[in-house]
Amino acid sequence: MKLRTGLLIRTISLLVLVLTGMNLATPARAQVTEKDFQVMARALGFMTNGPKGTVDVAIVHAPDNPASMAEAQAAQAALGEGLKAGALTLRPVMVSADDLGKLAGVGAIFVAPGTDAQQDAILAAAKTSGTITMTTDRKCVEAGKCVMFVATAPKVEILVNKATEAAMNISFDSAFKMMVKEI
Amino acid sequence: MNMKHTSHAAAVVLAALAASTANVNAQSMDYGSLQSLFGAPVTTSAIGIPQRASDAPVTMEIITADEIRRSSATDLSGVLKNRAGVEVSQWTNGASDVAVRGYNQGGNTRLLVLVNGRQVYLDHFGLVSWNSIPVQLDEIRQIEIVKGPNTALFGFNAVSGVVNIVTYNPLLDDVDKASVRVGTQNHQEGSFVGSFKLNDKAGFRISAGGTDADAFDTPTPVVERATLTDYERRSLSLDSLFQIAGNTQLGIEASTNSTNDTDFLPTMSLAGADYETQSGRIRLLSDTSMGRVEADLYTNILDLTIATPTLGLNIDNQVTVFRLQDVFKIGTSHNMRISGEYRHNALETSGNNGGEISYDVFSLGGMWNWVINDKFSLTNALRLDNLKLDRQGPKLPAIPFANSQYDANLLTLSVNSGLVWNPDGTNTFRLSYGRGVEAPSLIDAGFQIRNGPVVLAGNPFIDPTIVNNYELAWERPLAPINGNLRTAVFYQKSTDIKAIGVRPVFSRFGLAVVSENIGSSEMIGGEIQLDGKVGEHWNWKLNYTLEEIDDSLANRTGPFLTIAKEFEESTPKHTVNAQLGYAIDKWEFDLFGKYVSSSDRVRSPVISPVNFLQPVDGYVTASARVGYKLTEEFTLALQGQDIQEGEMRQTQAPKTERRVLLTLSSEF
Repeated sequence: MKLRTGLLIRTISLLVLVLTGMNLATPARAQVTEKDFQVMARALGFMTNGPKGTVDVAIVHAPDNPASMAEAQAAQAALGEGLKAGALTLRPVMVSADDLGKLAGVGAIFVAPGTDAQQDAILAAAKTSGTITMTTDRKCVEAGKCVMFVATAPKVEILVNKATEAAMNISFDSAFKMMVKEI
Repeated sequence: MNMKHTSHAAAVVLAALAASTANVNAQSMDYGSLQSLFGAPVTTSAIGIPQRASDAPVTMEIITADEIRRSSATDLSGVLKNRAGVEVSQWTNGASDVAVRGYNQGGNTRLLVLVNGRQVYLDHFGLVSWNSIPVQLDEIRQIEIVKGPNTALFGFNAVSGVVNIVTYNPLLDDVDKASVRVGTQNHQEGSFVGSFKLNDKAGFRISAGGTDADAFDTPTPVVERATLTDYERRSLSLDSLFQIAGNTQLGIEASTNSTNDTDFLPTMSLAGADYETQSGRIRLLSDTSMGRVEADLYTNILDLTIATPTLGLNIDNQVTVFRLQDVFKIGTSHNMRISGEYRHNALETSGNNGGEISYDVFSLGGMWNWVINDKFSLTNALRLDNLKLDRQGPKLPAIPFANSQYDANLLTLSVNSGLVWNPDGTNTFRLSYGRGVEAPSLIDAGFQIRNGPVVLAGNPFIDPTIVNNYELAWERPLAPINGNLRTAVFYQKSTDIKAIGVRPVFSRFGLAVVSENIGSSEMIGGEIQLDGKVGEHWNWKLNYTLEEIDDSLANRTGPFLTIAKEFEESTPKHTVNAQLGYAIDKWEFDLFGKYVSSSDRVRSPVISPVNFLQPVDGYVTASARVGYKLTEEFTLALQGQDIQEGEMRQTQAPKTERRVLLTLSSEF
């Protein structure tokens, strides 16, 4: 066959070499951002019988852990007076991991990193009210202590712990579940 | 076919589904919310499940509503023409053929075109009359282009690619737009799209449009001049969606379209054509404990009249499709789709000699998408089609087949397989294989028509064309240009290519020329695309496509071609598209350039076995749009197509003319 395969292969090879040589490193993960919460809000929109309208989001943190406090403050700043994304507006409520009684009435729980020691208690409290737990701490979902992990860089990634979701009697739209990672 | 039985069975399935959906969730695809969530285009056209386009195991593109609005195009085929690997042959003012991955021709039969999953190609031959598609550009959310064979998912016709036109959801989206357009060629056009809802339980979208324009006044062979027809289009469509239970939606659609234009036939000659199409559809979508279930019943009706110097032809075609599919997830990493389909396709020839050729197709398909880990996913799809052909009624005496010989049975297997490797969250590599089946159309297999002293005859023994495609693709975002890189290389082989009017059969009743398989063709190609943004205001895109074809067709005798099929010389090898956009305040400027290398294209001014190759020099063409937002509601846009020359040759059909159009649009 008299097709110009050689030319094509050489051209593609050159492009691969040039482009893979460029400095395209992925940036390190920073603190939780407004964009992370926008993704969380839109994800909540795919919950069956999920929260509607203005939703109080508990920012559960460990007050004696500086990293956890910093993340909680970043979350509070990101949500400001209320962050609108899709059909929901998320409003921050700071909740210390030592004072989980304040979770009553919130529509969603954001579990800040640095709360490892309290995550069993947070999960238990969330189960009681059937409130979804969200985090930017992947380990929390992998350990089955949180339902949903969200990252937005380099692209949006959502990880859902199926067992925790079922245990909390939470469910999502099937199209959503096909587009996220489940463990 | 027995329509009554089909409708009955469909009703039973719909009722059963509705009854099985208690305490479960959601229904039709909410493209808007999913795209906002993931910040990336979302598709279901690749493997039938929702996924990010970048995760799909096929090479594909998505044209967004914003890109459609800012394009210089005023119709569907124009919107597609600047895409890598997509070739648009504009034959006349109002008629075009679109090909994905080469092999374009008059009445291209290798492309599957859908509107929200309903086929809108014309099933008597498998061709697409683009302006007969009952859609207004303003109601399109996105157009998804899948490149390469995908018949394992979608069935016949998806042999070179799929174009799925996704409109706004009548229950989820509010779209209210109207526009008027005037321009050269006495172009006059009006379009309206409106939507309304009742208590969030019922949503309706209605669209209507009409266009009148003169045919191009460029030199045309004398024998064909009388066939030139001005372009006229009338289109009306209703799309509705009802929330009949918490987790179940019922969709009802209807459309009608009338389009007159001058077509370029598969015989490579011009003909006046009058397309009258109607469609009706009912769908039930439900998110059940067994998965996302969809039952879909629709019928498409075509009344086509074609007039050539030697032929007056009337085609009455009706295709009815009932499809049932379930998409579900097993465990955490296995997405599955199973589907069954029944199709009845009938072509009456009563305007010519009486009789009906038809086929029934029973299909079973399955798709398995395995997310192996964070880096790898594997998708495999199979589809089995069993086609039963039948012919009833009188036949022309010269036809060399008895009606009983049309009782043919065809069993075909389609395959798609794709491995996606995402090593670092940024680069995506795809290795894919597709085995596509282009089944014989009713024209190929059994139509009968007198063309002067000769009878054109379908052949019940003709084989399907099989297209095998092997592809390697790589894409990634490129931060330095605030954009993306997309590349693909592929090898494709088409065997048993079909052609009409090939084998002469003499009898005492006269001469019949019969459809035949005429050989094979191979193609190697590649495409590369870069897109980017500069600052807040500028965007650009650049793509290059290589398509090199090697035919092995039983065709040539001396200086002429005996068959109006030739791809090696008629497919341009090199195509480059470039576009540059600038938007600031109330202004939008978009410029599109295109280079197409030279080719020699098959031409036959009258339907005959004497075809010649018309040289078409390489050409550069430019199109542009300037838009100005007059108020929050009104926008004025000036659009120009092929603006650099008064007339130019782009195909073997008569030259095209420069078009300049002024559009006033309102969003209310």
